[in-house]
Amino acid sequence: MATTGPVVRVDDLRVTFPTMDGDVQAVKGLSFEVPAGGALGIVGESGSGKSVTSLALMGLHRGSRAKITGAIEVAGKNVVTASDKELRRMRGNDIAMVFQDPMQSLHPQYTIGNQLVEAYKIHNPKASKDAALKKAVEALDRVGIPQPEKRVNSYPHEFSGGMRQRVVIAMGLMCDPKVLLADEPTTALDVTVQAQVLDLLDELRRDLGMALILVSHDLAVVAGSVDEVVVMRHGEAVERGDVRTVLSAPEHPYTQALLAAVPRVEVSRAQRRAQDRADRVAKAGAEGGGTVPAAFAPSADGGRGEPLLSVRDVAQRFKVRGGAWGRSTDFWAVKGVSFDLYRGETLGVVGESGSGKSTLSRTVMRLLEPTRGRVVFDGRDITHMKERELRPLRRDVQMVFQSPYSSLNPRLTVGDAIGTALRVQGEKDTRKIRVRVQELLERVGLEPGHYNRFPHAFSGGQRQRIAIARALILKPKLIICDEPVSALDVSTQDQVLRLLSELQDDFGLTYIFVAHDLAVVRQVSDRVLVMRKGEVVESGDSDSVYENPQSEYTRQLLAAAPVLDPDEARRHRAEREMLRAGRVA
Amino acid sequence: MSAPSHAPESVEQPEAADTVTKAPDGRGGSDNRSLRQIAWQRLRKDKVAMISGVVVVLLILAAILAPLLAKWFGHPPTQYHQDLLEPNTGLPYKDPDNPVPPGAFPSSEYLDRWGAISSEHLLGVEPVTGRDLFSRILYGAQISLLVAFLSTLVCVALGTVLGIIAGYKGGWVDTVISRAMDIFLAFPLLLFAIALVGVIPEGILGLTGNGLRIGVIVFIIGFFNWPYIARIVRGQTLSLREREFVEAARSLGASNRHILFKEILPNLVTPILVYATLLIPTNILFEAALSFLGVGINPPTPSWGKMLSEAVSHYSTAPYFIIFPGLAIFITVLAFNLFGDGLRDAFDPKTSD
Repeated sequence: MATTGPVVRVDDLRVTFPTMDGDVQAVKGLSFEVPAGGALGIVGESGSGKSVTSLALMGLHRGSRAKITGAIEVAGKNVVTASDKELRRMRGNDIAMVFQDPMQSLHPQYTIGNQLVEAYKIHNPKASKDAALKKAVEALDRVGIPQPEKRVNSYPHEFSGGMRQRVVIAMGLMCDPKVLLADEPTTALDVTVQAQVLDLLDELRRDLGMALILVSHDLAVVAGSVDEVVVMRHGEAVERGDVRTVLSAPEHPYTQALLAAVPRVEVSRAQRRAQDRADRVAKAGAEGGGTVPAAFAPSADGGRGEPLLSVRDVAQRFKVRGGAWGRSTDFWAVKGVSFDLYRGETLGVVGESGSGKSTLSRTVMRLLEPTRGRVVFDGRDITHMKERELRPLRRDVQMVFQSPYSSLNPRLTVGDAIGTALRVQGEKDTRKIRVRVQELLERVGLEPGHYNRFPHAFSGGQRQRIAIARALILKPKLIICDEPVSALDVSTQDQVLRLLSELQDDFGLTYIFVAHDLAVVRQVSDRVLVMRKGEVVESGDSDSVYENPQSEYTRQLLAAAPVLDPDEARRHRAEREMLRAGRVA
Repeated sequence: MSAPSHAPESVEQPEAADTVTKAPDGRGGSDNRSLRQIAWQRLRKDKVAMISGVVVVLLILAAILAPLLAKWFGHPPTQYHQDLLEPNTGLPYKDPDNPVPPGAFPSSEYLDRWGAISSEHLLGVEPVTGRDLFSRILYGAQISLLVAFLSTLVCVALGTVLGIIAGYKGGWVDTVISRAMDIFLAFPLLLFAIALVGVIPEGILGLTGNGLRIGVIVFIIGFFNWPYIARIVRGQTLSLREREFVEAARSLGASNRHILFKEILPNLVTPILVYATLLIPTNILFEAALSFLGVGINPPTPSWGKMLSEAVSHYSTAPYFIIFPGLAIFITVLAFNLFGDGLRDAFDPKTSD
């Protein structure tokens, strides 16, 4: 083994997929090197070719119709020309991969011990079962699974998401690979868990001298964990260099735009809003177009008047079916949440998965009937209102959903999807509906002529705009946004956030903004609720919650939030390690 | 107010941000096609599906135009041509002008194992009766396809309505309908059909003769095969119901009826269409089986299954009699199956190209 040369070398890699509409070049001439023990981040938005690159590194393009040219060398072996047998020997042994979704990358029917032992025995067929098992326990211990001797006999479903990702990493470690390739290893995980997994990867790299290739759509995720970064776009590396240089002084306009679009947790709502308004004025000025409408000013704190929405001690119970006789147990997704929401303001609800934030928004929306408590909207108690009575009130409260793919009916044209709202509220005149829909399409930044297109012809960001138009058409007073940008790329996310902010200015909208991303929530919210396991652990004015968090949990969340500055990211990591060490001691 | 920390970059952000989004948004292009149009384009590239589709269309046309075709190319399906047959064996002569001499054994020297195919009788004539096989197969297609289409229609109607209700309502409604499906699928269908045909009185619902027989067969097939469609529809509805666009419709104030028929049903059309195409050949076979067992259409109306059962006793002396109706069933079933598969692939977003 050449210890001096790079352990991974990619030179002028091109990957082409033949399709019905001609060849698609997914990667166009990518080159990089990773030294032994080094760490490289590959960053790009969806469709940039980063996942294709990582599959090519593993030689997993074999058997597909992808055509590969260029050179890929992993630990001295040429992946492009190697025989299938050589490739199999390489995978796991020289380079191991950690996939995005730990729920899907472990086999549900085998114990994790079985799966780890198998990973070892493929490459060490002569090893005894006991030796392999010992190795498995060691690997589990290494990735921080408590009681590894016992847990080795557990099935994947007995672990949480973060623990499963640790198991997947342990599986990668079984044969002491020289390179660990992690493709979006934390995208499916909560912030605090993400921080733990990234810390683990960093620690393993340092202790075991492995090289790490970290593929992510999020610059902030790679910032603290890699030395070098490649920014990809449309299959090309637009920028490549030392992580500090790229992040602090990006050269390519794309990297600059990408960095500008990343929401920063230290930017307050007031700053962001001022910036958005200034940009808007500048843009309107540049176009020489009409005047920007005066910003809708929420009335001063003293004269807030009646709250638009008042939620008192709301709880939501689900019956979870269990047992052979259909006996069910109660699960309280939301346990006694109270808040008031005033006109023109935005309430951010932040929490990790399972915190009850989505259930809360559906309860407020009255898509669910609260089990306990009271919801008063605009002076009317809607807690137990019948669906029929609710119907006229529906126009006042609208929702923007998380997934732009599932929230639009694939069989309806966007015109119909948006127009449905008017139709179900009793509007009969088709021409009127059409005019109104086209106005709105234009308002949210889409071509009014795309009225007759089907959702599949639009990108994720455009679909989310359509969903916003649908929510707006009834001129609601309150819009509940349930993770509206979490499925979008950073730059698209930024545009959708701007749109929401502009609409708030123009129509005096009130928002409830539900998200797991702390930075996004801070930038859009006047006040914040931090939720955990169905309860509010902290609430208050957003600047004070973020700058002076009162609860331990909020502090943990903030410490776990990925930051763009590599040095600061490393400082946060050190803090977290201290915290953990303190807790263990 | 303090300057925002990302002010320096934001100056040229509008243009920069635009270039950033060209990538994902570029897909918008000029793509105005609906899913159905895309499926049609895929289907056109699938040679097997297109050929079988053409065969299906030809079969349907042949069935509809059977009287015309029989007039041009043959004879009425019930017209006897005993002059073409040797009276003792009932088999067609090779040459009617050269009958078996009296006292001679009616051997293959005089008789034709292949039905005396001629320009007059394209597929020869039946043994014993001498009816024109070509026109009988054409008319048989009428019965086969009519029964298959009607019974599939009944399956689809019952299956869709009950499946969508079970899937959308859930709870006890779902339990009742799902158990009903299990019961119907566990029913010994063939025995039931045979028994039912025997006990149904003539003239019920104003139906008599073949009308009644067709009605009974359609009822039996439709009534006992709907659970196949219902299961698929129920499963799809269960998953569609949880999709966010249904919640979005509810939050717009849409009624249950609107959600069921305007939001969910359009998404079910494709699976229903595909499954119905695959159900048709099953039903053709079922009709053939019933006719074969003698509980189908009354003679002398031709039916493929009935022809097969009559041909069985002649299989060694007149093999053509069993081959031609058999081929007709085979080609029809194969064409529908291949076409159904093609449809499914064309509509399935997971299959590439």
